[in-house]
Amino acid sequence: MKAVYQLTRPALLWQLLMVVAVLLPHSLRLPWWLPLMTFGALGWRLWVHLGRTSFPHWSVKFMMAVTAGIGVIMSIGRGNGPELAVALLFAGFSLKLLEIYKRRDALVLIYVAYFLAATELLFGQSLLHALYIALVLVLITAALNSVYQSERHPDFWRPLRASVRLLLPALPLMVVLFVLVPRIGPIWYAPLAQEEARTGLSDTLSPGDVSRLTGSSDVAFRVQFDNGRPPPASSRYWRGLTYDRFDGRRWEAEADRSPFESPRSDSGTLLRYNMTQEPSGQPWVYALDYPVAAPWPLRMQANQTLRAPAKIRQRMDFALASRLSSDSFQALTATQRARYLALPEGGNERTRALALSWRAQDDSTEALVARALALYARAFRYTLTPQRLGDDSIDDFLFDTQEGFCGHFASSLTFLLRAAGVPTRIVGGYLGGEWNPYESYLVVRQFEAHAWTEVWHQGRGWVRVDPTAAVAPERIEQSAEQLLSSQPEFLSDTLLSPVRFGHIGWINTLRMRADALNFVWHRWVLSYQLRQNDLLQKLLGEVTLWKLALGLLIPFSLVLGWVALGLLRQRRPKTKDPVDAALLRLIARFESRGLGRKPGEPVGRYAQRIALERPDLAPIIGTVARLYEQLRYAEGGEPQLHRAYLAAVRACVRQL
Amino acid sequence: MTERWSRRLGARARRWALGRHAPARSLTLTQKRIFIFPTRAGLWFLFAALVILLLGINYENNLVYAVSFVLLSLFVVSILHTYSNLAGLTITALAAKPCLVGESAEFELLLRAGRRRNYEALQLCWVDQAPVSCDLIDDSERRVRLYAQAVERGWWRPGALLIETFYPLGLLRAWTWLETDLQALAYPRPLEGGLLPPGQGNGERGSAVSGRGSEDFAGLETYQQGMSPRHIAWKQLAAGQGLHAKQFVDHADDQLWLDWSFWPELDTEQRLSRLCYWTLKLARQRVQYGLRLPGVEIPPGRGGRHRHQVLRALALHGRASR
Repeated sequence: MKAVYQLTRPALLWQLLMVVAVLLPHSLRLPWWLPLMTFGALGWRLWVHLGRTSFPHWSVKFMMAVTAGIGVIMSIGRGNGPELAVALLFAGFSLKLLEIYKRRDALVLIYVAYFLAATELLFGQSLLHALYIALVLVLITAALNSVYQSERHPDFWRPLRASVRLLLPALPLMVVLFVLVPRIGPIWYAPLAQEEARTGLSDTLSPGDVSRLTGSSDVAFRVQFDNGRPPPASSRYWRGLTYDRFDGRRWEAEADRSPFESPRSDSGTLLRYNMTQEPSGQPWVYALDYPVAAPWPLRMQANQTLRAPAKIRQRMDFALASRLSSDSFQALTATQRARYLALPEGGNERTRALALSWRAQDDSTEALVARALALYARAFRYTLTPQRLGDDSIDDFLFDTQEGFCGHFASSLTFLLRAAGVPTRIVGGYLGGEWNPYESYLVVRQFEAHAWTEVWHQGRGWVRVDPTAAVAPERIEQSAEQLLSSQPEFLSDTLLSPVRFGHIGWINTLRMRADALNFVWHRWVLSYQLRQNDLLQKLLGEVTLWKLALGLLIPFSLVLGWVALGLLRQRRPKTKDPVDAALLRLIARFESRGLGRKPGEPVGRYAQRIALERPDLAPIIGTVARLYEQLRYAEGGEPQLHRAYLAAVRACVRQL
Repeated sequence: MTERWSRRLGARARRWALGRHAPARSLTLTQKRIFIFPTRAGLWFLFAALVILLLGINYENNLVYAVSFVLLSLFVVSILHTYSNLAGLTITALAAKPCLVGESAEFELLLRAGRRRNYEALQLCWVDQAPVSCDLIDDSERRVRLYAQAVERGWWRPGALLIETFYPLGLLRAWTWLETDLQALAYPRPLEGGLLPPGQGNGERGSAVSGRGSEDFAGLETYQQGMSPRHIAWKQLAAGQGLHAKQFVDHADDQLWLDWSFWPELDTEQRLSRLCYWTLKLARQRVQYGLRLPGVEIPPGRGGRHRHQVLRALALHGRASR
């Protein structure tokens, strides 16, 4: 025979609480009317519970479901698979609220809630997100428990305690599963739409426009070196792309399809490191100057930069290797030569004239570079807020304003040298990085974006020339932060960024620790699949199936044994009531003499039985029983009665 | 179809489980007796965990993996919790009250917690009877009354007792079958009709005999609501002895016999039923009555004990006494 369970009041409240907790983070991403509908349904259900109204008729529910479904499809569009699915589930979930009445309805709601909580993690994976979802799981489990709790003792808080008691031991089990269960690749391709417009270098460089990157303290990437030490500050040039073509105002990156030829000799020590790049919305991958090889799926381009097959839309990890010294002599093909000498037809005449006059005096590359750097060092000023440049931007910069930042220096030097007949290119990337001692990695931020030049030397290949160093050598030797912090433009986008307060000791420590935590979170949790093999080999040696099974079994049995012990081995009851406690003590004494109380035997009858067996005890046990019953059934325990009873019990024990 | 199969399978499992242990008055649940298996809701829960795992695999999202693993671990941990919600519980059969065939007999059981343990949302029921839920929360023992319908007169056992629990998450069902040695006595189903044959003792007054009369003072009884205020014992009330009513009886030297041979047109069971009907009726009227059955003779008497004796003789007519 099956009984139909109706939800108790605490169970209903837990359902509603769970729904709010699950939907809260999703609701920020969904069309505005969906959360509104949820709260409407929630209110309606509460109203029903209070007896003010009734459940809606099925036709009303049907209409609402159809309307919500069409509304979701119209406002999200069918292109975004996961978002659409989540929104539809969300709508159904809200409407189901109007149906929960019996246990079965609640179970549907709860299971879908588990699923919705998991989908939230597709859209955000920060530590805070994870903690919030953990809290949501506790609430959902409490809701599930509340459905099964005793109808005779409905209680609001007990399900929460039960939930925590169940989930605490589940946590270590989860960790074991997380570490050991092998990760496999996606079964079918399911892209997630991500928002565009990330900060980072773009594929054009226009010195005339003020760089926006210096305003941001967002992390560009983090690097962990295999030897645990960062390279010296002066060689922390992170290469991303080269700007090759100039149209008079803007430099553009242009793909060079010809392959990169590896250097002939392997001189200099190889530096291996792990690059964790933040989503940039661009395909290039930053590498320490000079990368030696491209791991799959990256590709090394002819200009010695790394390129991913697609735009980087989520945090990615790459294992890279670089050499600090350049030995990449490579012959320049005719097309390449033409490319690195190309200038627009006209414009910037004064610069061209200057270049030609220099070349007339000494046409060696070294001499030309030296003259240019001397010019910068003599008269130029480094600033993040230069004056705007006119149409002939290079001329204006070199002869009039004479102030600017890396982009201005690199582009003017490149123009000068090309005009003098030396193949030159601008390299875009980052310079610097902050060492985090807590987790031993280097973090490079957007404001460390940098541009420098590479000059082709006959017989030596490409040589880095950083004109900014000639003007502001401290930009290379110190951190960008130290140099730039006096500039008004610096970190203007992030007024409250902790980086701004880096000079205050404890804030700096806190900031470093937080970043370290974030980094560890990413390395060991979010991209665990990349590290699982290494870790398992370190833990288990050679990974075999039965070792995995054993690794799963041993921790499981330990945790479960601990839970079982906690559940089954509990102390004897401590009866709180002194009257009962005294009686239990007395009964225990009699029990040891073979005069135990039969199950369910009233105290009075028990006393009579004892009186028959032990006539000597008859008067005192009779008194105990009488006083006990008086205490139990009389209104309120009178203190005298209480004392008399306890005295009688003591007397009885003595007479035994 | 599946319903029938599952019923048949269930009955078979029950017989097997019960065959392993002899009936007892009191027993403690241990792992030898407790069975545990996922419920349909539990299988759906595992399905949900699997779907979440697929989500994690497909989006290579390690946090979604983690959620799936949390659910799987939760399932494993809840096995222990569900099991321990039965383990250590001691069930003692206390008493069974007699009833009429067709009515429900009341059985009283005592549940006692093994140690300091809470047992929540336990369900008890006899085979194919409605379940009774109970729990032991901050309570070391509790009496439970269960009802089962009697089908046949005589001593009968209610069948196996099922104790089950889905607590805490409903993912698993832990249950046990046990055979108690409780037996209840079922009196025959009363069969209305017939008349007591005239001519015995007080034939003229027939069934109109009234035990409560107004002629002779017979004693005092505690006053209860509905008694005539004329019978209140004022003297005793004034003496501070509480409210009593004077009891009077009509002199009934008339003693009725209920005899096996009264209704020869009825078969054995119907006769017993008819006799049962009259027993109940006469007992209500507080008449002295006796019973003659082949081989049994109970002299006339009155009161609950007498009534039980008569009904018991009817119930056990032609049956083994235990």
